[in-house]
Amino acid sequence: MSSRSSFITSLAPLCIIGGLLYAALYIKPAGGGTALEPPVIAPRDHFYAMVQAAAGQFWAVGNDGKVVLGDGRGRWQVQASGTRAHLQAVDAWDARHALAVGNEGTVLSTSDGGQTWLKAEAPVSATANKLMRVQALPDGQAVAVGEFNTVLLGSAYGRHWERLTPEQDVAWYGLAVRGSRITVAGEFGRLMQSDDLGRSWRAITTPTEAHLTAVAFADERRGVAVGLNGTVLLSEDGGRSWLPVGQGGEEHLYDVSWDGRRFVACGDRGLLLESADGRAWKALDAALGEARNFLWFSRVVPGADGLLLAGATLGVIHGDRFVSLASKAAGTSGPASATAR
Amino acid sequence: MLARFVDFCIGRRALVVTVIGLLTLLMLGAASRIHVGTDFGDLLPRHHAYVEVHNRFKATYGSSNAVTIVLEAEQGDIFRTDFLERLRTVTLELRKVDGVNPEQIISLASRKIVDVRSSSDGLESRPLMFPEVPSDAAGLAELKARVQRNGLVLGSYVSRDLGAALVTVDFYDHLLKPEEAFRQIRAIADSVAGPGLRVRMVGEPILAGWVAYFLPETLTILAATLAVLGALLFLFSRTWRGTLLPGLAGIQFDPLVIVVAFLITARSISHSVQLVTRFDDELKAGAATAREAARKAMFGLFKPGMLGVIADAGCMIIVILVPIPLMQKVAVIGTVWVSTIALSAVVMTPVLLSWVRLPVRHAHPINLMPGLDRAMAGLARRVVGRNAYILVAVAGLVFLVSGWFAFDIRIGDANPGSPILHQDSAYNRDATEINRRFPGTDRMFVVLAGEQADDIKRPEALETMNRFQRYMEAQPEIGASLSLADLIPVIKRVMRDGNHHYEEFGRNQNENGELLYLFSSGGADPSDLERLADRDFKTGAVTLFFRDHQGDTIRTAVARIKEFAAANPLPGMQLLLAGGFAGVTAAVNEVILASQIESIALALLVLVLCCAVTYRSLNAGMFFMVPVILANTLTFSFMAWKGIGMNINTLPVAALGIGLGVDYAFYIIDDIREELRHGKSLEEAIALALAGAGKGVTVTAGTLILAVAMWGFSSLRFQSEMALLMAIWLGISAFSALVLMPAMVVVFKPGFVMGTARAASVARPLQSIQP
Repeated sequence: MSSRSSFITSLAPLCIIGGLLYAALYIKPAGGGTALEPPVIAPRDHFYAMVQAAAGQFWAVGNDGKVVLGDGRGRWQVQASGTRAHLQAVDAWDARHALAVGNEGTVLSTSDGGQTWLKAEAPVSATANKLMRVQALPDGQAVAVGEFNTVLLGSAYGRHWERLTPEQDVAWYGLAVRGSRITVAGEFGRLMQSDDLGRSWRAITTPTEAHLTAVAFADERRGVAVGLNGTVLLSEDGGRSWLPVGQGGEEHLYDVSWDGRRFVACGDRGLLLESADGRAWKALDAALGEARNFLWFSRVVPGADGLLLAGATLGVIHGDRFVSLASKAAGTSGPASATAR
Repeated sequence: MLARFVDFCIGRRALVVTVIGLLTLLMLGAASRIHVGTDFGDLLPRHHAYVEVHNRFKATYGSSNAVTIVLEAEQGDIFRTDFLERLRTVTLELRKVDGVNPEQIISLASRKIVDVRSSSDGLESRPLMFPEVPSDAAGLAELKARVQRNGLVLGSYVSRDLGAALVTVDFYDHLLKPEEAFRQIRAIADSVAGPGLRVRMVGEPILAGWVAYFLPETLTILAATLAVLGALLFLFSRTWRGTLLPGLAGIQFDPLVIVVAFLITARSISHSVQLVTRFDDELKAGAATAREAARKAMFGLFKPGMLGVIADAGCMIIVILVPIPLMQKVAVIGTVWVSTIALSAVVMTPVLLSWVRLPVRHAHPINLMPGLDRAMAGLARRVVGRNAYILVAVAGLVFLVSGWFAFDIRIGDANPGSPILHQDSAYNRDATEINRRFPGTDRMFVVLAGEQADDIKRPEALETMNRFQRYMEAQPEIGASLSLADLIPVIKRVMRDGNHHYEEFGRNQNENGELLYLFSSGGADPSDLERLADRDFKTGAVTLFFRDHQGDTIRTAVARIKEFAAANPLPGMQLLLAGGFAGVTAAVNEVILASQIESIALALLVLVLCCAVTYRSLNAGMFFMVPVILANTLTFSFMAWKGIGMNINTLPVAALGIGLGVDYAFYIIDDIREELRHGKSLEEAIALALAGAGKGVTVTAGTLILAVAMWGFSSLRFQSEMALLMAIWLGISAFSALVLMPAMVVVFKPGFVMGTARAASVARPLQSIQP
């Protein structure tokens, strides 16, 4: 064995040991899989509202600024809203134009089917400014209502907004616009109407002190308002006077809609009601089964082939069958979702 | 000088035996006071940042020893008076378990699970089912409705299908005696289990309890192992003395440490067998008396024997650098223990052999030696010449391939459930079932720490927690998370008549403070908030619930936590990792890999130094590194292949095993070297070495491998896996020593073996080792 190779083999062990020590200092087990895609619909998501914009095109909005676009068959994709504020309501003019409103006076609009959502400056109060409802009107106009006596009239598909009412300490939760008549309903049974698209308003007394959460009309005369603690009011004179109607329960009601042939209302504990005349109500919630106990719905609106439901989960009622539209199973709400009252 | 020492030992053998006997008694007394295991702090890396966070906050945010108990209704739901009564019994009885932190017993039946309702003067926090269980149908229906609507209970303490209820209980670390806790909790469980109700439980103390539960079985297997060991040695050596002498090793009865004990016993047996074999050979070669043969055997084998012992001890003491106290204790015990082999095997065995009466009478007629001799002779013919080059080339290839696969080894647990027990064990079945129904039993808490009181009431702090939770929950193995950011929106909603549109944070720090004040003043105990935030709201915890604690799961989570913290800096606040069981497991896993590689490196360094000093050649170090490295890479590859993770349980075996079997190579190479110095040709020297030391290696390795096979029957998966690993390790070492080492001598003709001029000029290298 030559002295040179002997020298090399003598150094070899030290090299190996040095290499291992180096590895001990610098090799770390790989963290792996950090690029996890969050589920489109997470257990923590609540959806406060949903709307069908066109055939096979649905928008739903909810807590923490979540906006999702779906095909009505349970496939959803998340859209970047650019906000973390809860979004309380959504409406659409067509497949491209839509708007969403929510906490902290947030107004978002899109004119490209939701590829980009732009934040609009709206004249909201600095004190309390949660926006609760929005309705799209013809010609790119819209109306939104919310806390601190906020009624906003929007134009240019939600890009520009003007305030129709002065700041006062009253929160509006419900909104119905027919032609140029606007009806808004709010806390402590308050209700007001305008026949000239918000230029002038008249206060209307109602027979309740409960918070009213929604109002809807079937035609020029017949309308229903719903609210907390199972409140249902009926008007048969276009909203000038209201009568209490019993529906047999005391759960909160969050929404009411007219789907062309009946009123439908939804609320806590999977409560779903229907009534053709607004006077006699019957439960529609058999479809939910046991799951109704931990579901709640804050929005029920007519879609092309069924009633759309948004709340603890997303779903649609076909006939008397409830179909979940969330990839999670019906009834799996987040850790802090269900109510204790 | 060595000759004088050997003469002294054999000459004054009575004295030597007495002294060693006394020493043994002394050591025995000392050993009985050593305490291994059960101190959970010992399992955690000292000074690791996660462990420091864990120790700072574990009293309130949850220790690593939480136990989860689940009561399952076999039919229907849990809302039956008899079921709920039994849930209440379990909840109350748990207070009596030793070491329990009574503030941390949480279930539907505890005072801590409250329903927040609005009342005329603000809020009312009323326990859902405390102190009494509803007894009529109306009460049960009311309770069921309230549970279904309470998102902080449904899913966490009552399963979503309403078929099971969960109880969590935590302990004061320093008061916890796991086996005792397991016994007491099991007694409580047995008292309520019955028709229609089934109890499952998981948690570290439960696991420790199961391990202890199998102690009798472990002892039985240990006895069987020793019996097999004895029987095999008897079969091979055909004499009683050959059987009994190698058995001079200590025994320790912790089921997890027993494997370590076996590792050391294996070395002890190896050295003794070599001496006995050599003794027999010396008698055959014409030694006149037993004393003469014993003297020659001791003289001949003293150097490789001591080299083996010192190298082994050196490799073990390296493990003290692993920053885990348990490992440091194991290292010290292992080193001391291995060092005693120097006395018990290398000195004591020949001294005792010197009393053997001649002529030797065989105790049974089965003689395996001729067969073994023929096998060794055959082997000797096949490892020389061209075959040697092929063998070395194949070994190089095997090294490269196994070295590549060795890096696939999983750090941390490689499978769901506990790796200590079999996948279908009661414990792992319970763990699987509980994690299927509930969001996860292995908890990790991450602390959001502010600089002053009330910092975590800031909206941006709560918002960060909320976003953090959403981010972490994207990982499928994280079933849920919990923080103050989950509670405040619920309080606000209740304050706003239960309206879901108001489930949100307060607008500012003050409103959040008011909401928390209302919650506390509504009847909730201040301590009820303690698992979410400290009393002055300077820090808050986000608890993550893991469905499993596999190494990859926890590593991914930790990487994501760091990622989130880096991308979302919050002025004046920081995210501190990480406590709870999953948090400290993350810490352990982080130090294991680096420690193990470092241990291997330093052990090799010790080996090289020992060889270099003994043989005056760095080449010798290189030479003896080969079998050690090969055994390490092959064993690691095997672990990677079989999915055996490197964790706190396997680490002692891997670390203490580094030097296992290197003594085989010492004996054989030293034998070759001696024969060459007596003028034999290389082929003859190899044949003689294999016939002498090689036979001893074969007997030792064969005996030990067959003996560890007994552990395949163990109910503890850990033991069977470790036994398999040791069997493989011993097999590889024996193969390297018998086949690869002679082939390497043929191929490389290293100077320290062949006796070049330089080596020869060092007259008696073995004198460099002082007895």
